[in-house]
Amino acid sequence: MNADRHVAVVTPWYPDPQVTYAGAFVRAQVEAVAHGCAELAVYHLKSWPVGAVGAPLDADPAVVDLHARLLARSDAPLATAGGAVLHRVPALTPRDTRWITHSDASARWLRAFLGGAPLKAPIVHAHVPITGGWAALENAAPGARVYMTEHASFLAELLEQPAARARYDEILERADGFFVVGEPLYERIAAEFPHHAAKLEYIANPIDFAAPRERPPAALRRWLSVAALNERKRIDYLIEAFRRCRDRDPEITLTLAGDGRLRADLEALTARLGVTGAVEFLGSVDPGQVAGLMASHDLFVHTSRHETFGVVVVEALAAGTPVLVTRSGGSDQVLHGIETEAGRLFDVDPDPDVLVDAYLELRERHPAGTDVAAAREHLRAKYSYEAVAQRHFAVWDREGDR
Amino acid sequence: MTVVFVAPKSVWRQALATETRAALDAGHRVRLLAEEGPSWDETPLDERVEVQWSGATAVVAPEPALVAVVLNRIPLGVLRRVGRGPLRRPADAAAAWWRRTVLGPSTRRRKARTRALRDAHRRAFLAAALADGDFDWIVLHEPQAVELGVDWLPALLDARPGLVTTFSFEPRTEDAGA
Repeated sequence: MNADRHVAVVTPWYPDPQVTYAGAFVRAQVEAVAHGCAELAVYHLKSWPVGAVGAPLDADPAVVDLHARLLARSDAPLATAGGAVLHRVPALTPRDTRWITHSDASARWLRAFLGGAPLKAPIVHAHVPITGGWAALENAAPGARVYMTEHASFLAELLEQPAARARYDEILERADGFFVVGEPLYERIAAEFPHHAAKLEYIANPIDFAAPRERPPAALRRWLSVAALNERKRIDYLIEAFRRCRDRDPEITLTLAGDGRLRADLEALTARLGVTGAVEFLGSVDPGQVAGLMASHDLFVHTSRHETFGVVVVEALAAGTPVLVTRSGGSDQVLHGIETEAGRLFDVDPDPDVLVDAYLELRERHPAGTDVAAAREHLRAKYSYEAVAQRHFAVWDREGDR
Repeated sequence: MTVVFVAPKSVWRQALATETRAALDAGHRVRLLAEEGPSWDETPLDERVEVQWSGATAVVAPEPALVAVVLNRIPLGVLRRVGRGPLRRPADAAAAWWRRTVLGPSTRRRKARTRALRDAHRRAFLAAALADGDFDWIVLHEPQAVELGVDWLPALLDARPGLVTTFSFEPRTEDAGA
């Protein structure tokens, strides 16, 4: 523990009893670094939409006044990962899609929660700059250093909004350090704001490497997907490719962990393709279950069109399970240099035979032509809790030493 | 203590089931003011929770009889009959156009009236359910608890400054020994 590290984490995403996986990577970061901090407090600014669609937040001043009064008297410090303290700070937001209003609301409600006083911590690390980052900058104490990490997959939509774009530029200007979790985000932000490109740095989401499977899978028959059931993840494509592979080997099965609005359609597709008995829909799973799921399957398959960082790919390899994943941005970066050892990458392509061919090639050479243990060690050095914690400490301490 | 969870729309049912159980396990008496609905079957509550259902889902703005007959049943009934013959496609298209163009605006107005009626019903329900003051701790579990609290909560906070208010019931730092 470092007696000088008093840290506040400000985030719009953090697991709660309703959605236990939302912002699990933020909790992982907290768990990774908490042991090295004298004090670590998390401020969870969860969005609470109110009012009529399109109405401004101040349309009903009585609601706004009441919420400010409640925030000032309703703090119940909660226990969270690593012995850190968690404050739930519901942020009333208008029902609109303008990011600038959500950004303003985040800063406003954190200020109300703090009673107008600044955050006490001299180090503030925020997640999602447009909301958590702005709230941190507007509520940090004078002289405090404010860092932030961008994870968001909605950046393109945000930057199309002029006011939000200008706010983002200001955030980049004022932040003491600005981190991204993957190459796609790095390239996007550097291209949009070239005058801030030198400020961008990588920082990884920490992954638990503690419990690998006892022995590598003998045959790649039990497939696993851990992904939301939405268009971007292309689960319909996965099911069709799975059906074609199953035509060649009736022993293979597919487990789908994750939920989403496409679930009914995907279940219907599974029935239409005649593979209902071979496909299991698990629904949402708790983050704590993921490592066990990875270890109890033979192959992790991921068909996403775009990823900012390949968390689940690293989780699969941390469990010792080979991967068959699309070149979706984040996954490419994670597997750079260890593609063959880890499993197989394949292109994002509408033709399911691309996945089928990749699977057959991987199955042909596994296990002699893969080395998951080596891939795992390679990733452990970059993404383990210890490695990511040291990266945070190096950033926080280098500025403090100046 | 007696903890009352205020969840007039019960949007986060999984959390309500988890947190009410946690409060019970911590030795509290637990009341819940909630909205009924079939989704509760997926997230059952502990039987020790004292639930008061709002009945808001049964509140619906009535459709005027004349509108129901003249604009809804007669024209759509005629188009259904016509559609049984070889004119099925044009009849279906005409029915879709009728629903969208003629019935659409009145349906939207009726939905808005239903929303307003339900909110008024929820406000009255909360005021009545909390009138006895039989609680020491209020968990305002969702945005609507704050929105619908403007009529009764400020006065309650003035009258009972020692009343505990939170937005959730989760393990506190002292409970974890932190």
